[in-house]
Amino acid sequence: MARKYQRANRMNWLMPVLFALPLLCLAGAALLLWGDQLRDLINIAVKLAVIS
Amino acid sequence: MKKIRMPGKLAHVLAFVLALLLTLTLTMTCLTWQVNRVLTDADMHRAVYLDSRVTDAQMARIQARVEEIAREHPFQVETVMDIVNEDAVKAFNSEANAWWMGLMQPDPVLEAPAFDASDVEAAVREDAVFLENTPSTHYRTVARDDIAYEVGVAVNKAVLPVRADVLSIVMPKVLEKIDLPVYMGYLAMAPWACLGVSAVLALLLVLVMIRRLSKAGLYIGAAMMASALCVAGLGVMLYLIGVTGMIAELSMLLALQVSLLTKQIALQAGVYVAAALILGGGLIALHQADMNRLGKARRSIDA
Repeated sequence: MARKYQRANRMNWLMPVLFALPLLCLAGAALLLWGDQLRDLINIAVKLAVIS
Repeated sequence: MKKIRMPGKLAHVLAFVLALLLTLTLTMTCLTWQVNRVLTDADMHRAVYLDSRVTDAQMARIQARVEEIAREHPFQVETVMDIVNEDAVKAFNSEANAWWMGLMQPDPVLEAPAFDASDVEAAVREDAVFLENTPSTHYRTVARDDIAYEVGVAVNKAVLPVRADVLSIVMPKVLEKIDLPVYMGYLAMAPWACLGVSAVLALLLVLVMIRRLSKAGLYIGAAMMASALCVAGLGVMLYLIGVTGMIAELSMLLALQVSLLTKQIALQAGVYVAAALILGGGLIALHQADMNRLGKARRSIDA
């Protein structure tokens, strides 16, 4: 019982990962879905604004 | 026997939701703070454009162009480079920086600054090599149009390698649609607003976990560490988009400035990440110590 309790207590260190996952997953999914379009958009803006 | 007071299930569910929101607001605090610095922190930009690597690269580019012009219309390169020296280039960098930062303030000056090359023209007209190799009837036009003007363009391109004419056309349209200074005001308040909301959420967590404050520490600490992970993760994702690489394809000089700026932001975001990890980890460690103490007390009672 005591060992089970200690193991559960140690799992508390994983809570930051649990809280970070939703935001990181959302950002990752957005990057996977729209990353190419975003890159193209930034590329066009850079080409328009910057002199070579 | 004294009863150990522990929060109930509802309190834990509420705390979980509050900690998720706290993660989001803390992450937003750091992100809005950094965006704000990029758009308004004149000191940070000064440190970038006065960096010796930037000045050296700009001077090398200008010198190469001046040598090219001197091959077409003979004059002593030193005559021009004595005027277009490091101090003059740094002063023009400062002017260019003040211009683009002013675009987001009320009553912006839309026309980009241009390097004043009138001193170059005067100096070239007294240069011995120039006088020897140029017909006397062409002194003025060659010195002004073929040398001083071209040197001015070279300095402009080295310091401000952006299409200022495009900005002059686009910015009035943008300003017609959006009240940019008002939004800049909101952006300046955003980090403080996010920090304030974070403080309120942390206070609510303390209230929800009032029966055992170390549990509030666990949730707040976990949210702080989670926000550090989010900032680091989002930083990696932004790096993967590779904006600096896109700029480097067109202008190495601008890419150098962007890369130095990115390092400054990464450094401060890194300080935030480290502080959040240490503080958050400390709060979780306090909770763990409290729970271990309680566990031991329980075991000794059971025994």
